[in-house]
Amino acid sequence: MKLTFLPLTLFAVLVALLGFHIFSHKQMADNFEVRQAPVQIAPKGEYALINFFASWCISCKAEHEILLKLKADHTLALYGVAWKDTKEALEKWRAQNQNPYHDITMDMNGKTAIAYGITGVPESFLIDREGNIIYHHAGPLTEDVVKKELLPRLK
Amino acid sequence: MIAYFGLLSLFVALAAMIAQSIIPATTLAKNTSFKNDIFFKLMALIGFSGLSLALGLLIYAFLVSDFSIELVALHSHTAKPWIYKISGTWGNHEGSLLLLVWMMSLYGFLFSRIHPEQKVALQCHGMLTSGLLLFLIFTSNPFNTADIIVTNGLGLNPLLQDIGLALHPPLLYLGYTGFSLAFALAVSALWQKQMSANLIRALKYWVTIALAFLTIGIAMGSWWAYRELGWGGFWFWDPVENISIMPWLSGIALFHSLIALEKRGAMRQAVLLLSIIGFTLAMCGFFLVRSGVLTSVHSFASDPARGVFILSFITITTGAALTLYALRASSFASSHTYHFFSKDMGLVLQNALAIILTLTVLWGTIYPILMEIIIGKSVSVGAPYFNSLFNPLAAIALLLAAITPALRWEKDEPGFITRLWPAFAAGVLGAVILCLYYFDTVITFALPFTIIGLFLILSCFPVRKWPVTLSHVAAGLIMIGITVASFAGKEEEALMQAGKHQTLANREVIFNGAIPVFGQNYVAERGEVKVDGHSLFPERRIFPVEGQETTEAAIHSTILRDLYIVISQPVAHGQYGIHLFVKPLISLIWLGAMGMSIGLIYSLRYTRKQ
Repeated sequence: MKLTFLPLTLFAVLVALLGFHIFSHKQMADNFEVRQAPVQIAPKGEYALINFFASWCISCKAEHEILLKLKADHTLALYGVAWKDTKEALEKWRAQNQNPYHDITMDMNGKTAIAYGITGVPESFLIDREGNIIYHHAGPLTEDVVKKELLPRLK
Repeated sequence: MIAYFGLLSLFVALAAMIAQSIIPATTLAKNTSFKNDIFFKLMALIGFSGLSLALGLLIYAFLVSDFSIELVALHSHTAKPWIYKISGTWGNHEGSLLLLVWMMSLYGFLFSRIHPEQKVALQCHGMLTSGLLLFLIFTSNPFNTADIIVTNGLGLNPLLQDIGLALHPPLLYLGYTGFSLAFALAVSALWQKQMSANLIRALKYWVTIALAFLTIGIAMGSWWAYRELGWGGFWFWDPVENISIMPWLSGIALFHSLIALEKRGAMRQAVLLLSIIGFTLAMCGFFLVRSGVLTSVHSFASDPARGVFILSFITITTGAALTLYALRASSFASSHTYHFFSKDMGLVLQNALAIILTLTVLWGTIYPILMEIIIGKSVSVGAPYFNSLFNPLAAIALLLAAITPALRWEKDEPGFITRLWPAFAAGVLGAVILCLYYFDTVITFALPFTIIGLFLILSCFPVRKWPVTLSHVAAGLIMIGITVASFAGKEEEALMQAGKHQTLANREVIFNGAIPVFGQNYVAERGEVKVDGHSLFPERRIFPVEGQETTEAAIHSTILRDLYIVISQPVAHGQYGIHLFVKPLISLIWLGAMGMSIGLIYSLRYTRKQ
């Protein structure tokens, strides 16, 4: 083989490497089946709590116990929306933490975040049976907030 | 309205670029008016106009905070200062891609007017621009309209709200896209199986311009990091920094190979190969930050789907060019004999070093990817690897840069070294003095680097050609600046109360307390610190919209040293952490980069005269 074919060969190897890398990331992502969070997240007819969180968010860890408790008490359905996160990190988060959510979606394009007007995580929205937002809490949920603001609003 | 006309302009530009690429080669071109200058100039003009209009509309949308355009809602806010509204246009994937394609069309337009005889190259360049435009329109449309029009947007990452980072992408991209012309010219030479004198001149012209912008673009990014990140560092061997230094290294090799080609008709294959590789590396550089292949502080939101598109684009363009090279490059081989003591040999060795340096950086950058594929674990390659390999090799390259200009073309005698003894001796003397001053000893790693740096500077005198002198002196200054700032830098920190004074890093530091200040879109705590009699005002800024904090170091710069102060959050008893960095000779780095770019641009005028 002529020496002039060397650059092409090296390039082919490099491309194969990068291509394999990108595709293997895609595979990992596909296994998790993360969907884009729609603006209408919870189905109508029941109370729901929409919780914007992220795998990297430290304050979210503070409210994780409370979310698990809400799920265990069957108080209301929790819908998690991962914000400014990645599929890999979310997968890792799911493997390492108990899942308090009825469903997890991810706001990949930022549109849902704009629609809800969130400026950080965690933020939670209480939705009534007609799909209206009846309470919004910015920051991690506390026992106090659940007792005084969330539960009284559930009728 | 903006979105409609913006997208329409993009389609018009696309049509013109496709026409420019394909029509001259088809049967339509039987009518020779499709092959003459006017056709190419017209198509390039339409392409440039369309993209200028599109970019102008997007900038306007950001400036007036038109949140009907989704991109503006996601990345801007009404409270932002107007200059960052403008620079925020390219502080995201879609906007920066539009900026890049606009620059492709700018170069194409100028190319069609300055070198209109290079028709095959113009067609090739049209194809490159078309490919990028297709990518832009169909996967990264900046004019997507928002489903919900918000009253205010998400703002711009505060780290990007800085003048250095407003200028860094445009300058860097002007460097990257400039190499697209070198690529197109190389492909055209391979296609036509010949390199005319005009083509070589055109190559030299555009490579010089691209390299000048790339130099200043990289330096600006480094300068921003130094000012903004708060610990006085300016280069971190971050994958994205690496990916920008590689086209620069190959660009330097290409530039010098072109000198050999012009003067001696040698290195034709090297010029062709480096032209192809340069643009490929530039494209990899531009795209690696947004494809999810490598993550770093630079990454835009990573999207593997876009990564596939990008990889396909690079594969097709570079694959085709390298295939052409593989098949036809042997006809460009020159039967050139190299005597060991000659400028020719000096340039060959310099090329070899530049390629080794590029491969060193490339290996360190893709090693983590390789390891993740092979052993499934993520490893990281850091500064120690790069510094231990790169720095000595770079020093040898600069040593060559001191010696080669003194050599004659074709053949010289070993005695040529006598011409350089004075400069070398003076360099050693100067380096010894420098090391004693900064380190109190000559037994330091800094010694060989400072010797080479000073030798390089002094070897340029007496002046043979001003552009060469300017650029090489600048390179020497950069080397000395990096060496001294890195090795002789001092830092010290202490908790201080208002009104107290302390000696930090051998300097008298007085802290006069901190007060709250209000910026247009931030709240800050500003301290007043007096160092050696200079008043400095370091800040901690909080941006409520983005929910982020930044440190604004206060810097007092002179050529001899930078005084760099960072203030921490308040701790108990009204104390603040005051951190002083002293960076000797660091300004030489930025001045050197400017000098190199000016020298390069100057050389254009110089060659024109000849």
